[in-house]
Amino acid sequence: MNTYRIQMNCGQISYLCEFFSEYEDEQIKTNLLSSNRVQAVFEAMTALHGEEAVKHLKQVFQQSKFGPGLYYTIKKI
Amino acid sequence: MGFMASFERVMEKALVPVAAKLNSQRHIVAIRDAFILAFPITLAGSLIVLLNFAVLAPDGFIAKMLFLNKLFPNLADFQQVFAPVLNGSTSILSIFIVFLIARNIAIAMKADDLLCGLTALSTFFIVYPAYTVVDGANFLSTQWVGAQGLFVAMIIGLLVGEIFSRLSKSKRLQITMPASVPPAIARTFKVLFPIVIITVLFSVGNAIILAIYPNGIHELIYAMIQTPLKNLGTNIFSLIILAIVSNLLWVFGIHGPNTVAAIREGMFAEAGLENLNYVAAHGSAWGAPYPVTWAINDAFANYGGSGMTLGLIIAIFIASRRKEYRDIGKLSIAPGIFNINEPIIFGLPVVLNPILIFPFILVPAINILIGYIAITTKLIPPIAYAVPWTTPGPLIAFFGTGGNWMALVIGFVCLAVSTLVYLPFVLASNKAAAIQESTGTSNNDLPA
Repeated sequence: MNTYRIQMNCGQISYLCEFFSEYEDEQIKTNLLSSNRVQAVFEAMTALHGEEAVKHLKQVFQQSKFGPGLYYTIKKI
Repeated sequence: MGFMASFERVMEKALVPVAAKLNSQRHIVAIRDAFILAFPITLAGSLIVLLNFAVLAPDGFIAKMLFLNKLFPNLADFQQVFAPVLNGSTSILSIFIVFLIARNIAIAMKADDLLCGLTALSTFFIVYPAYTVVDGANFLSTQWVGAQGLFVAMIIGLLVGEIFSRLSKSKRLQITMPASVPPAIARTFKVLFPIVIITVLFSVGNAIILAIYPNGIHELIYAMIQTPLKNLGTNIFSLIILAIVSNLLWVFGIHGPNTVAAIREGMFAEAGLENLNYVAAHGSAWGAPYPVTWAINDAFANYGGSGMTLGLIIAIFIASRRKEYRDIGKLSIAPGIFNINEPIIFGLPVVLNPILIFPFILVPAINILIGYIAITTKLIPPIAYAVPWTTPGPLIAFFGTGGNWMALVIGFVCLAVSTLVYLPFVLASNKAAAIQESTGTSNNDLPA
């Protein structure tokens, strides 16, 4: 199991924080570490490799209720 | 609570759900994605037309620069090789769009997307104006398969996509073949009844419309919906308002360009394509029928990405003495040249920045106006060629006009204007950062 720090940026960061705080699916588990107005850092535990994990997180958020409307970035730090 | 905080709250509580809804509403997404999928074909056509006139025409700007016309006296003869390219791209765009919209709806509704797209294409030609017989041969007009048929294509794509996807899920309408039948055949029989129903429905509908309005559904839709929308789009105020809305949403963390994409395509697609057809026919953007298209935004108001942030980066290098600003500027310049601005948008940040939000919205509006004035005063021709959005700044104006040097100059003027507008805001932002530093608060440390 790999552990990564994932940084997310968005003008509406609360939507990402709400979604990924204690998020869990078959491939990944995330916990919110810190956040400010436009940025949040999460800890992600996953069997996926770094970029795959980022891709997976982008995909699950894009399919969520608010994902399609928001402009955001997700990257491994 | 200050104005900015109240505004942010309104955006968060009211606009985010609306934007999310718009960006996930299957009909809007189907239209938006259909244009996105068709774009490479349009762009390829546009680039080949540009090369045809820039390289192969004796008076083309590249031909003149490289003296190609002197080196190869018969150069122009080769133009006819690429002349038919638009016949396979923008001239048949409605065919692509009707297929793709229906297919996208079927994908969203988990139906057979390929057969749904084909049914929509078939339906498009069921309602198409009848063949004309000339000297015993049948001729089908090409008038409605290109830009002018876009709205009928959109309406039929949406209707067929929706009806097909719903009907094909009904067990009572499915013909189930024995297991020994090959899967491809079983698949077609499964949706045979829905296809028959759609065919009958649209044939009858078309006959009714023809009885009431003999010119047919294409002319009816063109006159009633497409032309008013096109007139709305080819208006400078609409262009500026749409750019402002798009950038305003962007700066509040909402995907502005995606949110307005379906509206933008509806308003500007035909005008842009007509301009491209004009240059293909005349070899020059001078005299193109639509001076105002969304291309003005890309050509003059999007350098560095939304908000014309290339001007912001230059303003930082000129005026900012703060190390973090200059570091972010250095990090942002390379992607910024290719109109990618995530590093500066989230690095400074620009999003939710009460100071930088004003130039971010103001600069594109000013530059659209500069481009518009340059075009309407005939200083430069309209932007008629589609150019990839990652083309560095002023080169979009240059290539978009077919190599007009004055357009390149206007592009640099716009970049200079954007830098000048951003300058005082960068200074103010630096000052605010210094005050926050001295008081021990940071705009970004506030809880989300």
